[in-house]
Amino acid sequence: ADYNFKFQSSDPSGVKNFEIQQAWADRVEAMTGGRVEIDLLPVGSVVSHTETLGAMKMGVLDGHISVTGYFSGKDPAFGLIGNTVGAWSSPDQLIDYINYGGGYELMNELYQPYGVKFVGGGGTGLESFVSKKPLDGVEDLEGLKMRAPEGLVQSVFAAAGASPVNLPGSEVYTALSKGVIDAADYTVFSTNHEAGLNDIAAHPVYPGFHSLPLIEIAMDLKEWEKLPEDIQSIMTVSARDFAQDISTQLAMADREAVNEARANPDITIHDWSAEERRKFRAIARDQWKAYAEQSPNAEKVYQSVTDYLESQGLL
Amino acid sequence: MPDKDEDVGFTWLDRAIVWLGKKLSLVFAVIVLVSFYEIIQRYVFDAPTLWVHETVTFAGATLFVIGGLYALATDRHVRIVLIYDAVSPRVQRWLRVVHHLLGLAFSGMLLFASWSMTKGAVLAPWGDIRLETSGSAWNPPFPALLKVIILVAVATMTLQFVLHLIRDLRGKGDN
Amino acid sequence: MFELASMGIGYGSLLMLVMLIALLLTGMQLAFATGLVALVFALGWFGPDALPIVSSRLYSFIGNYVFLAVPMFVLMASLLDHSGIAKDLFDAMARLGRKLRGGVAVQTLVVAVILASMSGVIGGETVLLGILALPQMLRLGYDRKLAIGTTCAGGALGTMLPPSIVLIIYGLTANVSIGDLFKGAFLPALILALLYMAYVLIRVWLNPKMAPLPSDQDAPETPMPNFFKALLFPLLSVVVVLGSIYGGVASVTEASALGVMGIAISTWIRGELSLAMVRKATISTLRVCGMIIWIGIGATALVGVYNLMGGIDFVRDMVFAVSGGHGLTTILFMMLILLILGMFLDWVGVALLTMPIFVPIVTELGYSPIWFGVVFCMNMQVSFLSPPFGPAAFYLKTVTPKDISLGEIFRALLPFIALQVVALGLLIAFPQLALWWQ
Ligand code: NA
Ligand code: NA
Repeated sequence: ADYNFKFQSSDPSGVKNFEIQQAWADRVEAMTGGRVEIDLLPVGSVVSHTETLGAMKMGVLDGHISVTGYFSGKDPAFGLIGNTVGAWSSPDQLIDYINYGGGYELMNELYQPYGVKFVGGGGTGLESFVSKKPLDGVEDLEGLKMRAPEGLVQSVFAAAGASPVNLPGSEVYTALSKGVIDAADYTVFSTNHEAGLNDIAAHPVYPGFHSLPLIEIAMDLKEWEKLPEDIQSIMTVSARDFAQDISTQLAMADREAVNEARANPDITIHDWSAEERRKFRAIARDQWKAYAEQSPNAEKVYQSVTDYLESQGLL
Repeated sequence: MPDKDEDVGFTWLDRAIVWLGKKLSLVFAVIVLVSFYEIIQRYVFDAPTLWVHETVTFAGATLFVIGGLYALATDRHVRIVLIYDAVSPRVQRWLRVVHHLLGLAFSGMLLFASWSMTKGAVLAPWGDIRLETSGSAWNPPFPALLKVIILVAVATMTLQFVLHLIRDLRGKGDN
Repeated sequence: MFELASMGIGYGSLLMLVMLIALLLTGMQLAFATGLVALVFALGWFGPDALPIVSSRLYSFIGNYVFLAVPMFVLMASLLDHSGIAKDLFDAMARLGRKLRGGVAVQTLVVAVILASMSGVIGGETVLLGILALPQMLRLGYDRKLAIGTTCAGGALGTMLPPSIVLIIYGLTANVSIGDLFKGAFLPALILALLYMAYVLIRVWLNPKMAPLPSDQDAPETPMPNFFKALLFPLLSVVVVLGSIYGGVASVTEASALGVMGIAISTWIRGELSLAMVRKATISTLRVCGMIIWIGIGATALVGVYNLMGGIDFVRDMVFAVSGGHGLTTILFMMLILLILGMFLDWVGVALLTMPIFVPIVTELGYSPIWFGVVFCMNMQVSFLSPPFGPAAFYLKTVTPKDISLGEIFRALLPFIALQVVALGLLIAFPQLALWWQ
């Protein structure tokens, strides 16, 4: 191949996310007639998931497929755009914003100083909330002992009255089954279901009201600029397709798992009313503002996202 | 571990590291107490803290780095001494010289690498000073601090190897 | 830079291995040797831009919350060493085994199991038993090899029985629950200990001269320790630690901190706790952790560079080529690789170098990663005893009389290594031994 790239994923090999990402890499190779070959490495194989952005700048990695929120420590802007809790009701809304609402340009502006090209991205899926207790609204979150990843999500849940704690993903199952925590912001319904989380915490909230992380394909800007225009187009268009691909496939898997769960008398799926979702969104929006004040870039993200939401009548 | 003879160190730098390490090692006891406090807060008062988890991780990481310098200063790093023990003291000295040179190559390259990593953690790409934070709800600048600590530690380690090299070249390491 | 990349991953892997072994044989520190090979390959294969892989991996490696359990376990063991708990435990047990042929050896193993459930590292226990048990057995006229082997193999049980730092590192690398690994390792650890005991009893039954019974004049030197004051609290703190891990009340790191509190309170009740003792314990913790963690840093650096070179696919393909994708053959081939690596490398290095590649293959073949973790832990038991790099033997050597050579210790360990391989075989043949509780 004319261009051999090493990309690192933020997922381990063997999970569905990784397979879909691998399919994208294979498609790029096919579409470029073999001129581009992307070697996709599982999470942590070269550097840890929080270090890939720096690794691209230093020239260690050529690219990554990762979650933007992991880089919130470098700039709160990434924390805000990486998971704008309460902004999107479906991955499609996020994809629309990225592709046509200014998200793509904004991400490229933010990444430009880091020597990184944002090729494209979207949402994995509206995550399902795992809970042992029946939750039907914001009030039920009061005092709820739960696991949440670092970043905006944690602040929002804390503001909503819950007690979020840090736990590595691998401890979530045990912690739930032993009652260390009562709920968890983990991942999409199908993956939660497959991991048996719904069996030990039988009151999932689906579709979730909380997390919709931005997943992105990005690469070393210098390498990008060396690519001929046709390959650049193939990369961006295939990344756009990847965003559809991952959210659609996960949504289908989710629906299948939801049907399975509905047939199970021990599991009760809760769906929040529009009113309760709006309440949670209002709490989240206050946290957006708090985040926006932390850096000029975060302010830009805040403006861009709220402008878009307003223009679409989504606020 | 057994009560071995008191750690001293070979050079003035080693002795300084041993002195500092002994003082700082008490932080391990502090980590125990703070973790205990967190458990009580969570289970008795239902009020987990935001800061314990990240603080003890940072403190532990710092001690791990310093522990490496301490083990080098007191020659406690694991080695296979099969051949080393079988040769004469003169050959042993030359083997040590080789180790110091190789160690110097290791720490020199690592120093360059740490410099490049740490620069990105304390400077924003547009040149302003901006300490990289953890991104959590508490959001302390521990990532930047830890990277600075790594840089300083690796620089110290490089100097340790230089001093060990000088010492063995002068033949003072035989006794 | 040196265009190492042009040699291809096959020869690259070989050169890496040869370089590593050559450096290790000169007596260079394991931690720096692996780190140096990583840096040389980063530079030679990719150029200076790739060097920060090593610093980046160093940073991520040490900043792991779960890792804090390592110093906590070392601290627990150090406090235990500086207290008289182990000695009282041994003296208390001495009353039980007097009439039994081989009683002192069996008693040593029982004490080893109890100590193992209080400590999660290799080293301290071996040394303690070397001070407490070995001289007694030698004085009574026990067969030297039997006595040495029992002491050393018993001491190594510390990382097989939970809590265990080996399982923690595995859990981190394989991303599986450490609590589950602890549950899984419990029964196999007991089986291994029972195998040791059965072996001792059979040997002395076949040849009574190997273990003379103590004469009546040979009464215990020390009075029976006050059970309530001396042992109740240490044992209670074991229950608290393991209970909170198994019960999922606290994370492993927190539980290990609780364990340190438990042992500290026990020594306080025994009237042994002092600032000087705490200082001694924390200093040895710093020294031991510096050693363990830097071996890990070296190994993790090497893994990062090797992965970027395309090592994952290379090793994967090699494993499948040898085993033909057959499940059991693959596992056995992996065991062979681990046994060989365990002869030359420290277990931390072995874990970090192989598990990121092996675990995905194992799960893909449909095996449980929890079970494989216990299998790995059992395999590392062998590595502690196998020459030429056998940490348990090294530790024992530091406290044995001069006339016991390292060679004699290694020879004494051979039957125990065979027993470990038997236990490993049982565990592979009957995965339920590690998974019955699920
Ligand atoms: Na143990
Ligand atoms: Na060995």
